[in-house]
Amino acid sequence: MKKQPIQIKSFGDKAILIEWPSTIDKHVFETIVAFKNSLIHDEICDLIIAYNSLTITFFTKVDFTTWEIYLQRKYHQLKTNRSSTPNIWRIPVCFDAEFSIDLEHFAEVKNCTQATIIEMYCATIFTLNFYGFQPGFPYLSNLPKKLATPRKELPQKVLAGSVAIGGEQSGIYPANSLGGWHVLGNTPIKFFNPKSNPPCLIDVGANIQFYSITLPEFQSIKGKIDAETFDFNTLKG
Amino acid sequence: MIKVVHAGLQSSVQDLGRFGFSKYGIPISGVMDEIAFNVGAAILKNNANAACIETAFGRLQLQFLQPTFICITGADFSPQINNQPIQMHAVVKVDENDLLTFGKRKFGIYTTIHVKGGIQTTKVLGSRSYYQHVTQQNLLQKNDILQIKKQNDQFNFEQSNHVKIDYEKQQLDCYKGPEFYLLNQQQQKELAEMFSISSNCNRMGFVLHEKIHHTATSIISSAVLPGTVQLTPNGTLIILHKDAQTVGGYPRILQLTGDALSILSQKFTNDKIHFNIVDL
Repeated sequence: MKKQPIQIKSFGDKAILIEWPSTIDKHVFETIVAFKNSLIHDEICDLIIAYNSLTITFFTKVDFTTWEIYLQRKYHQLKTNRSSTPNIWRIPVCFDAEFSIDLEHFAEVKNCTQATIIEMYCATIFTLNFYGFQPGFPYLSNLPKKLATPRKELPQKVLAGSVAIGGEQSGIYPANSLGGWHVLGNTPIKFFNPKSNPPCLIDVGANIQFYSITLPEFQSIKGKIDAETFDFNTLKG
Repeated sequence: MIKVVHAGLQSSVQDLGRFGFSKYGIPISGVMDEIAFNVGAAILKNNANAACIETAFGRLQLQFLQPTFICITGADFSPQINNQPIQMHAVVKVDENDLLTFGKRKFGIYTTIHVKGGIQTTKVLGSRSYYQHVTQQNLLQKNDILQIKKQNDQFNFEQSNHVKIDYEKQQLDCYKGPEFYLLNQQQQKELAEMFSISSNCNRMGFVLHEKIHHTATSIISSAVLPGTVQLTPNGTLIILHKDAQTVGGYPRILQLTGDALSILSQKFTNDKIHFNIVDL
Protein backbone atom coordinates (compact mmCIF):
# COMPACT_ATOMS: atom_id res chain seq x y z
CA MET A 1 0.00 0.00 0.00
CA LYS A 2 1.32 3.44 -0.90
CA LYS A 3 2.66 5.40 2.08
CA GLN A 4 0.82 8.53 3.09
CA PRO A 5 2.88 11.74 2.87
CA ILE A 6 4.19 13.07 6.19
CA GLN A 7 4.54 16.54 7.58
CA ILE A 8 7.55 17.22 9.79
CA LYS A 9 7.44 20.09 12.28
CA SER A 10 9.70 21.31 15.04
CA PHE A 11 8.19 20.97 18.52
CA GLY A 12 10.35 23.19 20.67
CA ASP A 13 14.12 22.86 20.37
CA LYS A 14 14.41 19.29 21.66
CA ALA A 15 11.59 17.51 19.84
CA ILE A 16 10.28 16.91 16.35
CA LEU A 17 6.69 16.09 15.42
CA ILE A 18 5.82 13.94 12.43
CA GLU A 19 2.19 13.99 11.36
CA TRP A 20 0.13 11.87 9.04
CA PRO A 21 -3.24 12.89 7.55
CA SER A 22 -5.70 13.80 10.25
CA THR A 23 -7.78 10.65 10.67
CA ILE A 24 -7.67 7.52 12.80
CA ASP A 25 -6.84 4.93 10.17
CA LYS A 26 -5.63 1.39 10.76
CA HIS A 27 -3.26 1.24 7.79
CA VAL A 28 -1.76 4.64 8.48
CA PHE A 29 -1.27 3.58 12.08
CA GLU A 30 0.61 0.45 11.00
CA THR A 31 2.92 2.66 8.94
CA ILE A 32 3.52 4.89 11.95
CA VAL A 33 4.47 1.89 14.09
CA ALA A 34 6.77 0.53 11.38
CA PHE A 35 8.43 3.92 10.99
CA LYS A 36 8.90 4.29 14.73
CA ASN A 37 10.53 0.87 14.88
CA SER A 38 12.97 1.88 12.14
CA LEU A 39 14.26 4.92 14.05
CA ILE A 40 17.24 3.88 16.10
CA HIS A 41 19.68 6.68 16.92
CA ASP A 42 21.86 7.62 19.90
CA GLU A 43 20.46 11.14 20.07
CA ILE A 44 16.85 9.99 20.34
CA CYS A 45 15.42 10.05 23.86
CA ASP A 46 11.85 8.92 23.27
CA LEU A 47 9.43 8.03 20.46
CA ILE A 48 5.82 8.79 21.31
CA ILE A 49 3.13 7.49 19.02
CA ALA A 50 -0.41 8.85 19.05
CA TYR A 51 -3.23 8.24 16.57
CA ASN A 52 -1.75 10.00 13.57
CA SER A 53 1.54 11.33 14.86
CA LEU A 54 4.97 10.39 16.06
CA THR A 55 6.86 12.70 18.38
CA ILE A 56 10.60 12.26 18.66
CA THR A 57 12.30 13.77 21.70
CA PHE A 58 16.04 14.23 21.95
CA PHE A 59 18.56 14.44 24.76
CA THR A 60 19.95 17.77 23.55
CA LYS A 61 18.89 20.63 21.28
CA VAL A 62 18.68 19.48 17.68
CA ASP A 63 19.35 20.96 14.26
CA PHE A 64 15.85 20.73 12.85
CA THR A 65 16.82 21.12 9.18
CA THR A 66 19.29 18.23 9.25
CA TRP A 67 16.87 15.96 11.05
CA GLU A 68 14.02 16.85 8.71
CA ILE A 69 16.08 15.69 5.73
CA TYR A 70 17.20 12.54 7.56
CA LEU A 71 13.64 11.63 8.56
CA GLN A 72 12.21 12.16 5.07
CA ARG A 73 14.91 9.85 3.70
CA LYS A 74 14.27 7.17 6.31
CA TYR A 75 10.53 7.38 5.60
CA HIS A 76 11.12 7.09 1.87
CA GLN A 77 13.17 3.93 2.45
CA LEU A 78 10.56 2.36 4.72
CA LYS A 79 9.03 -0.82 3.39
CA THR A 80 5.32 -1.03 4.22
CA ASN A 81 4.43 -4.51 3.05
CA ARG A 82 3.71 -6.52 6.15
CA SER A 83 5.07 -10.04 6.10
CA SER A 84 2.93 -11.32 8.96
CA THR A 85 -0.11 -10.38 11.00
CA PRO A 86 0.70 -9.01 14.45
CA ASN A 87 -0.03 -11.32 17.37
CA ILE A 88 -3.32 -11.02 19.16
CA TRP A 89 -3.09 -10.83 22.94
CA ARG A 90 -6.05 -12.60 24.57
CA ILE A 91 -6.96 -10.88 27.80
CA PRO A 92 -9.37 -12.32 30.39
CA VAL A 93 -12.07 -9.99 31.72
CA CYS A 94 -14.63 -10.70 34.44
CA PHE A 95 -17.98 -9.09 33.71
CA ASP A 96 -19.45 -10.14 37.05
CA ALA A 97 -21.79 -7.65 38.74
CA GLU A 98 -19.06 -6.89 41.26
CA PHE A 99 -16.93 -5.35 38.51
CA SER A 100 -19.30 -4.33 35.74
CA ILE A 101 -20.25 -1.06 37.41
CA ASP A 102 -21.73 0.63 34.35
CA LEU A 103 -22.76 -2.40 32.27
CA GLU A 104 -26.42 -2.39 33.31
CA HIS A 105 -26.93 1.29 32.56
CA PHE A 106 -24.85 0.96 29.41
CA ALA A 107 -27.08 -1.86 28.10
CA GLU A 108 -30.20 0.24 28.83
CA VAL A 109 -28.80 3.21 26.94
CA LYS A 110 -27.82 0.96 24.01
CA ASN A 111 -31.23 -0.78 24.12
CA CYS A 112 -29.89 -4.33 24.20
CA THR A 113 -29.00 -7.02 26.73
CA GLN A 114 -25.85 -7.05 28.82
CA ALA A 115 -24.97 -10.36 27.18
CA THR A 116 -25.05 -8.73 23.75
CA ILE A 117 -22.75 -5.93 24.90
CA ILE A 118 -20.28 -8.46 26.27
CA GLU A 119 -20.49 -10.53 23.10
CA MET A 120 -19.85 -7.52 20.85
CA TYR A 121 -17.01 -6.31 23.04
CA CYS A 122 -15.32 -9.72 23.13
CA ALA A 123 -15.70 -10.21 19.39
CA THR A 124 -13.69 -7.07 18.71
CA ILE A 125 -10.01 -7.12 17.87
CA PHE A 126 -8.67 -3.89 19.34
CA THR A 127 -5.47 -2.09 18.37
CA LEU A 128 -3.35 -0.56 21.13
CA ASN A 129 -2.67 2.93 19.79
CA PHE A 130 -0.76 4.54 22.63
CA TYR A 131 -0.37 4.96 26.35
CA GLY A 132 -1.41 8.20 27.98
CA PHE A 133 -3.55 9.90 30.65
CA GLN A 134 -1.81 7.82 33.34
CA PRO A 135 1.28 5.62 33.33
CA GLY A 136 0.31 2.37 31.61
CA PHE A 137 -3.18 3.44 30.49
CA PRO A 138 -3.65 1.99 26.98
CA TYR A 139 -5.91 3.62 24.39
CA LEU A 140 -7.56 0.96 22.23
CA SER A 141 -9.29 1.60 18.93
CA ASN A 142 -11.67 -0.44 16.67
CA LEU A 143 -14.57 -0.24 19.10
CA PRO A 144 -17.82 -1.15 17.28
CA LYS A 145 -19.76 2.05 16.58
CA LYS A 146 -22.77 0.74 18.46
CA LEU A 147 -20.74 0.66 21.67
CA ALA A 148 -19.31 4.18 21.35
CA THR A 149 -20.55 6.44 24.16
CA PRO A 150 -19.45 9.90 25.31
CA ARG A 151 -17.62 9.81 28.63
CA LYS A 152 -19.44 10.70 31.85
CA GLU A 153 -19.80 14.33 32.83
CA LEU A 154 -18.31 13.71 36.26
CA PRO A 155 -15.43 11.33 36.89
CA GLN A 156 -16.03 8.63 39.50
CA LYS A 157 -13.88 6.22 41.47
CA VAL A 158 -12.55 3.45 39.27
CA LEU A 159 -10.77 0.28 40.40
CA ALA A 160 -7.43 -0.82 39.03
CA GLY A 161 -7.95 -3.30 36.20
CA SER A 162 -11.23 -1.71 35.09
CA VAL A 163 -11.94 -2.26 31.41
CA ALA A 164 -13.86 0.73 30.14
CA ILE A 165 -15.30 2.62 27.19
CA GLY A 166 -14.98 6.37 26.58
CA GLY A 167 -16.12 7.97 23.35
CA GLU A 168 -14.96 5.77 20.50
CA GLN A 169 -12.14 4.28 22.48
CA SER A 170 -11.62 1.58 25.05
CA GLY A 171 -9.05 1.44 27.78
CA ILE A 172 -7.88 -0.28 30.95
CA TYR A 173 -7.23 1.66 34.14
CA PRO A 174 -3.85 0.55 35.55
CA ALA A 175 -4.46 1.95 39.02
CA ASN A 176 -7.30 3.02 41.30
CA SER A 177 -8.24 6.48 40.11
CA LEU A 178 -10.96 8.91 39.21
CA GLY A 179 -12.25 8.23 35.73
CA GLY A 180 -15.01 9.30 33.39
CA TRP A 181 -15.18 6.20 31.20
CA HIS A 182 -17.92 3.54 31.43
CA VAL A 183 -16.68 0.48 33.30
CA LEU A 184 -17.79 -2.85 31.83
CA GLY A 185 -15.62 -5.33 33.70
CA ASN A 186 -12.26 -5.97 35.33
CA THR A 187 -9.13 -7.79 34.23
CA PRO A 188 -6.80 -9.49 36.72
CA ILE A 189 -3.90 -8.99 34.30
CA LYS A 190 -1.38 -6.37 35.38
CA PHE A 191 -0.52 -4.29 32.36
CA PHE A 192 1.80 -1.91 34.07
CA ASN A 193 4.70 -2.62 36.41
CA PRO A 194 7.18 0.21 37.05
CA LYS A 195 9.65 -2.26 38.52
CA SER A 196 10.25 -3.83 35.11
CA ASN A 197 11.69 -2.28 31.99
CA PRO A 198 9.78 -1.95 29.75
CA PRO A 199 7.10 -1.22 32.35
CA CYS A 200 4.19 -2.06 30.02
CA LEU A 201 3.24 -5.62 29.16
CA ILE A 202 1.95 -4.91 25.68
CA ASP A 203 3.62 -2.78 23.00
CA VAL A 204 1.98 0.00 21.06
CA GLY A 205 0.67 -1.42 17.78
CA ALA A 206 -0.32 -4.80 19.21
CA ASN A 207 -3.79 -6.31 18.84
CA ILE A 208 -5.91 -7.22 21.84
CA GLN A 209 -9.04 -9.34 22.17
CA PHE A 210 -10.89 -9.81 25.44
CA TYR A 211 -12.61 -12.98 26.62
CA SER A 212 -15.05 -13.48 29.47
CA ILE A 213 -14.08 -15.36 32.65
CA THR A 214 -15.95 -16.23 35.82
CA LEU A 215 -15.30 -14.75 39.24
CA PRO A 216 -13.51 -17.89 40.52
CA GLU A 217 -11.32 -17.87 37.39
CA PHE A 218 -10.60 -14.18 38.00
CA GLN A 219 -9.53 -14.89 41.57
CA SER A 220 -7.37 -17.80 40.49
CA ILE A 221 -5.48 -15.74 37.93
CA LYS A 222 -5.13 -12.84 40.35
CA GLY A 223 -3.73 -15.19 42.97
CA LYS A 224 -1.10 -16.48 40.55
CA ILE A 225 -0.15 -12.95 39.50
CA ASP A 226 0.21 -11.85 43.12
CA ALA A 227 2.33 -14.93 43.83
CA GLU A 228 4.35 -14.16 40.69
CA THR A 229 3.65 -17.61 39.23
CA PHE A 230 1.50 -16.48 36.30
CA ASP A 231 2.99 -17.00 32.85
CA PHE A 232 2.12 -13.89 30.82
CA ASN A 233 3.25 -15.60 27.63
CA THR A 234 0.07 -17.68 27.70
CA LEU A 235 -1.79 -14.50 26.78
CA LYS A 236 0.01 -14.06 23.48
CA GLY A 237 -1.88 -15.43 20.48
CA MET B 1 20.09 10.09 57.02
CA ILE B 2 17.58 12.91 56.88
CA LYS B 3 14.31 12.81 58.74
CA VAL B 4 11.19 14.60 57.53
CA VAL B 5 9.92 16.43 60.59
CA HIS B 6 7.17 18.27 58.76
CA ALA B 7 6.31 17.35 55.17
CA GLY B 8 5.01 20.71 53.98
CA LEU B 9 3.48 21.09 50.52
CA GLN B 10 4.33 19.30 47.27
CA SER B 11 7.56 18.02 48.83
CA SER B 12 9.30 15.28 46.91
CA VAL B 13 12.62 13.85 45.84
CA GLN B 14 13.51 15.01 42.33
CA ASP B 15 16.39 14.82 39.91
CA LEU B 16 16.41 15.98 36.29
CA GLY B 17 13.68 13.50 35.38
CA ARG B 18 12.70 10.18 33.90
CA PHE B 19 13.49 10.09 30.19
CA GLY B 20 12.36 7.70 27.50
CA PHE B 21 9.14 6.47 29.12
CA SER B 22 6.64 9.04 27.89
CA LYS B 23 5.66 6.38 25.36
CA TYR B 24 4.21 4.46 28.35
CA GLY B 25 2.30 7.46 29.67
CA ILE B 26 4.97 8.26 32.27
CA PRO B 27 5.71 11.99 32.49
CA ILE B 28 9.31 13.17 32.62
CA SER B 29 8.78 14.68 36.12
CA GLY B 30 11.99 16.12 37.57
CA VAL B 31 12.64 19.47 39.23
CA MET B 32 10.41 22.37 38.30
CA ASP B 33 13.29 24.87 38.28
CA GLU B 34 16.19 23.34 36.39
CA ILE B 35 18.24 26.53 36.57
CA ALA B 36 18.16 26.42 40.37
CA PHE B 37 18.88 22.70 40.34
CA ASN B 38 21.97 23.08 38.16
CA VAL B 39 23.28 25.93 40.32
CA GLY B 40 22.93 23.81 43.46
CA ALA B 41 24.63 20.79 41.90
CA ALA B 42 27.52 22.97 40.75
CA ILE B 43 27.98 24.70 44.11
CA LEU B 44 28.11 21.38 45.97
CA LYS B 45 30.18 19.78 43.22
CA ASN B 46 27.59 17.05 43.00
CA ASN B 47 26.97 14.71 40.10
CA ALA B 48 24.89 16.64 37.55
CA ASN B 49 21.87 14.42 38.22
CA ALA B 50 22.23 14.02 42.00
CA ALA B 51 18.74 13.99 43.52
CA CYS B 52 17.55 16.85 45.70
CA ILE B 53 14.47 17.59 47.76
CA GLU B 54 12.01 20.00 46.18
CA THR B 55 9.32 21.72 48.20
CA ALA B 56 6.68 24.40 47.58
CA PHE B 57 5.90 27.37 49.80
CA GLY B 58 8.66 26.72 52.30
CA ARG B 59 6.73 24.66 54.86
CA LEU B 60 9.09 21.69 54.93
CA GLN B 61 11.14 20.87 58.04
CA LEU B 62 14.05 18.46 57.90
CA GLN B 63 16.34 17.07 60.56
CA PHE B 64 19.81 15.89 59.58
CA LEU B 65 20.69 12.73 61.47
CA GLN B 66 24.29 12.83 60.31
CA PRO B 67 26.69 15.65 59.38
CA THR B 68 26.78 16.74 55.74
CA PHE B 69 26.90 19.78 53.47
CA ILE B 70 23.83 21.34 51.94
CA CYS B 71 22.93 24.12 49.52
CA ILE B 72 19.57 25.83 49.12
CA THR B 73 18.59 27.23 45.71
CA GLY B 74 15.40 28.29 43.95
CA ALA B 75 12.65 30.01 45.94
CA ASP B 76 13.80 32.01 48.95
CA PHE B 77 11.75 31.23 52.05
CA SER B 78 14.36 32.47 54.55
CA PRO B 79 16.05 29.14 55.27
CA GLN B 80 17.34 28.57 58.80
CA ILE B 81 19.44 25.97 60.56
CA ASN B 82 18.53 25.72 64.24
CA ASN B 83 16.65 29.00 63.88
CA GLN B 84 19.74 30.83 62.58
CA PRO B 85 19.43 32.27 59.05
CA ILE B 86 21.61 30.65 56.40
CA GLN B 87 22.60 31.92 53.00
CA MET B 88 20.97 30.81 49.77
CA HIS B 89 23.31 29.59 46.99
CA ALA B 90 26.08 28.73 49.43
CA VAL B 91 27.61 25.59 50.92
CA VAL B 92 26.33 25.19 54.47
CA LYS B 93 27.84 22.63 56.82
CA VAL B 94 25.22 20.84 58.93
CA ASP B 95 25.90 18.74 62.02
CA GLU B 96 24.09 15.75 63.52
CA ASN B 97 20.57 16.75 64.69
CA ASP B 98 20.59 20.13 62.96
CA LEU B 99 17.11 21.26 61.97
CA LEU B 100 16.36 22.99 58.66
CA THR B 101 13.27 25.17 58.65
CA PHE B 102 11.93 28.04 56.57
CA GLY B 103 10.26 31.30 57.37
CA LYS B 104 9.09 34.35 55.47
CA ARG B 105 8.71 34.20 51.72
CA LYS B 106 11.04 36.53 49.85
CA PHE B 107 10.34 35.21 46.39
CA GLY B 108 9.34 32.18 44.36
CA ILE B 109 7.51 28.93 44.97
CA TYR B 110 9.78 25.88 44.60
CA THR B 111 12.86 25.57 46.79
CA THR B 112 15.49 22.95 46.03
CA ILE B 113 17.48 21.51 48.91
CA HIS B 114 20.71 19.91 47.76
CA VAL B 115 22.79 17.56 49.85
CA LYS B 116 26.41 16.61 49.12
CA GLY B 117 26.33 13.34 47.21
CA GLY B 118 22.61 13.54 46.53
CA ILE B 119 19.56 11.90 48.11
CA GLN B 120 19.99 8.12 47.93
CA THR B 121 16.49 6.84 47.29
CA THR B 122 15.87 3.93 44.90
CA LYS B 123 15.86 4.75 41.22
CA VAL B 124 12.80 3.61 39.30
CA LEU B 125 13.14 3.45 35.52
CA GLY B 126 16.38 5.37 35.68
CA SER B 127 15.31 8.24 37.93
CA ARG B 128 14.74 9.13 41.57
CA SER B 129 12.00 11.64 40.71
CA TYR B 130 8.85 10.91 42.66
CA TYR B 131 5.71 10.25 40.65
CA GLN B 132 2.48 8.55 41.64
CA HIS B 133 2.18 4.87 40.67
CA VAL B 134 5.77 4.85 39.46
CA THR B 135 7.78 5.44 42.64
CA GLN B 136 6.69 4.04 45.99
CA GLN B 137 5.61 7.51 47.13
CA ASN B 138 4.69 10.64 45.23
CA LEU B 139 5.17 13.00 48.19
CA LEU B 140 7.38 13.14 51.25
CA GLN B 141 5.55 12.24 54.44
CA LYS B 142 6.16 13.07 58.10
CA ASN B 143 8.78 10.76 59.64
CA ASP B 144 10.17 9.62 56.29
CA ILE B 145 13.86 8.77 56.48
CA LEU B 146 15.98 9.56 53.44
CA GLN B 147 19.43 8.07 53.00
CA ILE B 148 22.39 10.26 52.12
CA LYS B 149 26.10 9.58 51.71
CA LYS B 150 28.57 9.76 54.56
CA GLN B 151 30.75 12.85 54.25
CA ASN B 152 34.29 13.49 55.41
CA ASP B 153 34.82 16.66 57.39
CA GLN B 154 36.90 18.09 54.61
CA PHE B 155 35.11 19.48 51.64
CA ASN B 156 37.14 22.05 49.82
CA PHE B 157 34.55 24.41 48.54
CA GLU B 158 34.97 27.86 47.19
CA GLN B 159 32.75 30.44 48.75
CA SER B 160 30.15 30.79 46.01
CA ASN B 161 29.91 33.99 44.03
CA HIS B 162 26.66 35.77 44.49
CA VAL B 163 24.38 33.95 42.07
CA LYS B 164 22.02 36.25 40.23
CA ILE B 165 19.23 34.70 38.25
CA ASP B 166 16.67 37.05 36.78
CA TYR B 167 13.48 35.44 38.03
CA GLU B 168 11.78 38.83 38.03
CA LYS B 169 11.57 38.87 34.26
CA GLN B 170 8.06 38.60 32.91
CA GLN B 171 9.13 37.49 29.47
CA LEU B 172 8.82 33.80 28.72
CA ASP B 173 10.73 32.80 25.60
CA CYS B 174 8.92 30.26 23.48
CA TYR B 175 8.66 28.78 20.03
CA LYS B 176 5.56 28.52 17.89
CA GLY B 177 3.82 25.27 18.75
CA PRO B 178 2.61 22.62 16.28
CA GLU B 179 -0.88 24.19 16.12
CA PHE B 180 0.18 27.85 16.15
CA TYR B 181 -0.97 28.05 12.54
CA LEU B 182 -4.58 27.50 13.70
CA LEU B 183 -4.61 30.92 15.39
CA ASN B 184 -6.17 33.81 13.52
CA GLN B 185 -4.81 37.37 13.54
CA GLN B 186 -6.96 38.39 16.47
CA GLN B 187 -5.80 35.46 18.58
CA GLN B 188 -2.13 36.03 17.74
CA LYS B 189 -2.53 39.65 18.79
CA GLU B 190 -4.10 38.64 22.10
CA LEU B 191 -1.34 36.11 22.67
CA ALA B 192 1.21 38.93 22.68
CA GLU B 193 -0.44 40.68 25.63
CA MET B 194 0.23 40.35 29.34
CA PHE B 195 -1.19 37.40 31.22
CA SER B 196 -1.37 36.68 34.91
CA ILE B 197 -0.86 33.43 36.74
CA SER B 198 -4.04 32.00 38.28
CA SER B 199 -4.15 30.16 41.59
CA ASN B 200 -4.61 26.90 39.70
CA CYS B 201 -0.97 25.86 39.47
CA ASN B 202 1.03 22.85 40.48
CA ARG B 203 3.65 20.43 39.16
CA MET B 204 1.31 19.39 36.33
CA GLY B 205 0.82 22.85 34.91
CA PHE B 206 0.07 26.54 35.26
CA VAL B 207 -3.33 27.88 34.23
CA LEU B 208 -3.36 31.51 33.12
CA HIS B 209 -6.06 33.85 34.27
CA GLU B 210 -6.92 35.71 31.09
CA LYS B 211 -8.54 33.93 28.19
CA ILE B 212 -8.00 34.58 24.52
CA HIS B 213 -10.64 34.54 21.83
CA HIS B 214 -11.66 30.93 21.72
CA THR B 215 -12.27 28.45 18.95
CA ALA B 216 -13.91 25.08 19.31
CA THR B 217 -11.03 23.27 17.69
CA SER B 218 -9.55 20.24 19.26
CA ILE B 219 -6.89 18.02 17.80
CA ILE B 220 -6.67 14.26 17.55
CA SER B 221 -4.80 13.24 20.70
CA SER B 222 -1.10 13.78 20.28
CA ALA B 223 1.97 14.02 22.48
CA VAL B 224 2.52 17.01 24.76
CA LEU B 225 5.70 18.02 26.57
CA PRO B 226 6.58 20.08 29.63
CA GLY B 227 6.44 23.65 28.32
CA THR B 228 3.60 23.02 25.87
CA VAL B 229 1.02 25.82 25.97
CA GLN B 230 -2.45 24.42 25.30
CA LEU B 231 -5.47 26.41 24.19
CA THR B 232 -8.65 24.95 25.65
CA PRO B 233 -12.09 25.30 23.97
CA ASN B 234 -13.14 28.21 26.21
CA GLY B 235 -9.98 30.21 25.48
CA THR B 236 -8.05 29.33 28.64
CA LEU B 237 -4.32 28.84 28.29
CA ILE B 238 -2.56 26.08 30.19
CA ILE B 239 1.22 25.84 30.34
CA LEU B 240 2.10 22.21 31.00
CA HIS B 241 4.91 21.45 33.43
CA LYS B 242 6.98 18.45 34.57
CA ASP B 243 4.20 16.15 35.87
CA ALA B 244 1.73 16.82 33.04
CA GLN B 245 0.04 13.98 31.20
CA THR B 246 1.99 12.86 28.16
CA VAL B 247 -0.82 13.10 25.61
CA GLY B 248 -3.47 15.75 25.01
CA GLY B 249 -6.28 16.79 22.70
CA TYR B 250 -5.99 20.58 22.91
CA PRO B 251 -4.14 22.64 20.30
CA ARG B 252 -0.46 23.15 21.20
CA ILE B 253 0.06 26.77 20.27
CA LEU B 254 3.38 27.54 21.90
CA GLN B 255 6.34 25.61 23.32
CA LEU B 256 8.38 27.26 26.09
CA THR B 257 12.18 27.06 26.10
CA GLY B 258 13.79 25.10 28.94
CA ASP B 259 14.87 28.28 30.75
CA ALA B 260 11.42 29.86 30.40
CA LEU B 261 9.93 26.79 32.07
CA SER B 262 12.28 27.28 35.04
CA ILE B 263 11.42 31.00 35.30
CA LEU B 264 7.71 30.16 35.12
CA SER B 265 8.00 27.67 37.98
CA GLN B 266 8.76 30.47 40.43
CA LYS B 267 5.83 32.70 39.45
CA PHE B 268 3.31 33.37 42.18
CA THR B 269 -0.46 33.85 41.83
CA ASN B 270 -1.22 37.11 39.97
CA ASP B 271 2.39 37.55 38.76
CA LYS B 272 2.45 38.81 35.21
CA ILE B 273 4.06 37.11 32.22
CA HIS B 274 4.11 37.61 28.49
CA PHE B 275 5.14 35.26 25.70
CA ASN B 276 8.10 36.17 23.53
CA ILE B 277 8.14 34.06 20.39
CA VAL B 278 11.65 33.26 19.22
CA ASP B 279 12.91 31.42 16.17
CA LEU B 280 14.56 28.03 16.40
